[in-house]
Amino acid sequence: MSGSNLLRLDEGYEVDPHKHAEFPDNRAYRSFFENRLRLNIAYGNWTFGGRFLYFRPSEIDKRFFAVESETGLDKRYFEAQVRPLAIRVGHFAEVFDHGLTLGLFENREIFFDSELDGVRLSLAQGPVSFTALKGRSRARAGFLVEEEGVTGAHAEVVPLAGWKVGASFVHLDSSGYAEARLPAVSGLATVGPLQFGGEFAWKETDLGASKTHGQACYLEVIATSGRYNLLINYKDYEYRGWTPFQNPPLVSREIGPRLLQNREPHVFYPEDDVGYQIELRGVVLKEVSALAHFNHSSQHAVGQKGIARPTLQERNWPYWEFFTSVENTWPSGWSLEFEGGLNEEAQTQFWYKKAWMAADVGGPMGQMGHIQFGGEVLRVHDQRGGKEFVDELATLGWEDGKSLSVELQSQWTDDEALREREGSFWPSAEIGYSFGEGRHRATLFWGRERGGLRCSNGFCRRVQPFEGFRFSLESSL
Amino acid sequence: MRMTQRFLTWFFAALAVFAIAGLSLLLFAVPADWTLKDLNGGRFTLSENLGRGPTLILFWATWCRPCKQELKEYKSIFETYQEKGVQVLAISEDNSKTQSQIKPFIQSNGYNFTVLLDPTGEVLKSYGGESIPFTIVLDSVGAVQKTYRGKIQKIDDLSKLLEKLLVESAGE
Repeated sequence: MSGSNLLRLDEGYEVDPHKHAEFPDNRAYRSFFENRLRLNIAYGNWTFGGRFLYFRPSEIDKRFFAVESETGLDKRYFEAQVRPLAIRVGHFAEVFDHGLTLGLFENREIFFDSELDGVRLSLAQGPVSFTALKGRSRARAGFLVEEEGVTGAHAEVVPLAGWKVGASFVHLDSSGYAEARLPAVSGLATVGPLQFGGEFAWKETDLGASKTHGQACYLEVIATSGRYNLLINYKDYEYRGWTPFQNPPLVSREIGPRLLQNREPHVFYPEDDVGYQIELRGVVLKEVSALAHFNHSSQHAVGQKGIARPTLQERNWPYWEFFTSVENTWPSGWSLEFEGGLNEEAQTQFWYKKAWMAADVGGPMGQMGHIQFGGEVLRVHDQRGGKEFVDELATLGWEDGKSLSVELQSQWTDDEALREREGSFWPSAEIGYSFGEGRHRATLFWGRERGGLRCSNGFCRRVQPFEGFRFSLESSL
Repeated sequence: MRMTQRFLTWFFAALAVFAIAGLSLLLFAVPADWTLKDLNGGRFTLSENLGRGPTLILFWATWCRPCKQELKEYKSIFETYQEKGVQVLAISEDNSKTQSQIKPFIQSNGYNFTVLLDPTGEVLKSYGGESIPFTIVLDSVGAVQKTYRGKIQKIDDLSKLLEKLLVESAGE
């Protein structure tokens, strides 16, 4: 038997987005509690599993996101493995190839769950593998997924290591979204130091008497030479009726320096998106590794001929980002990481140009554990408002090398508009403690936390600024 | 009266379920088994790769900063034990959104661990993992001997455990 328990508790204040007052008079009390108990019991080739959820969202969560309190067994499954067959009945997640036709996942931090409740059959024999599934997603109040019947199959053949051909088909019934069919083909080929991969999907959606036809294309090339590596990705997504069950590659970076995460990070919207990324990384000196990255994407431009490509036209919501990073690790164990970058994005609500620098330095201090210093500076130019402001962050972290860790963090800004909404100074402290032979980890946060978009796989929630205590306890059972 | 009856019925039903589950666990419980894809499209089944020594499983992702720090910081230790006979598996929790980053990251950093893909997180969850970094040590039959939540802090303890399991598996 294996299992885990995760307890999360918030007590403090958060900004009420419906309250028209300046900070701190726009705050409301936040009390949040969640406990997830997960158990898996294996009997020979059979496994039973389930999750018991106790969820009490805050009043703002209820009003702003429309989520509701929940208590009960919200996930359960039974899985039997009789090689080469495996069958799972109950809840499951699944990804077909690069996720152009099907990519299911759950992230409770942003209230997202596209997992299905149904049956999944998998067969893997020699170079051939096959998966077929049928199930229904669950529509929960406030979650970003409607109830929908999903049927799909994926087959692939791996004739040689580094070579693969695959095909998928997904059918969505018309219960939550319009009825649609998504066939796809995919491939992978490795020729010496080069690897080519990709997937192409079509989407046919029924709209009463008419149908729409969309498509999604993803390509990747990876070239390796010694310790140098070049990655080139291309995307062309125009689903014409994208649903949360498709989860194609981002072709950009989702998680960057902390200040960027708090300041309108790029939101990926695969309904209409074309772009590419180029990333070169390698070990430039014995202990120094470096990375240079560029990506550019936009909505499709009307009237464009030839291969679809991103534009810099403001009306097409262009986004580009360039950053470079260097990491150096000395034999003593001390390391230095530095990143500098620029990006620009125009959307309906904003048009920002950003430039940032982030550095982290840390290392062992003999018997006194490990220490880490960090700093970030982000300069934002609001193109439409003609304003410029600077966000800054400093961190100091320490680990005792056994079970205790402490991180002190402070962020501040000179953005007057932000000061009116959520203040201008965010100090915090977080203490982590592992116990029970590492089977349990408790974390206590105290202080102020900035609000902003929190994204996972392209799905985002606007989290409100928070001030107070946050406690979490993660345990292995 | 009716409520008491209902309570007793539920109580004894729950007791029976727990008793059967407990007895079954004692008699039939076996370590978890799973199959994941590798970076070249091949498949890796745990049960087919056990029996030669302990297994160290590192759950990580390209977007997880502490995971990458851990891989870098303990690279030489992991490689030393790999040479001694410990099977080191780096299971990536990247999903379809970020999977293209894995191979460049692994190759440019010169990691020679077996890298496997767990895009749905099912294997992580099957070991009770809720977040990453998450590390487990299995003995030669696949039973979990140690769990680390968050970054490994007591690296000396991990070394001692791996040494002990190596000696045990050599004696089998």
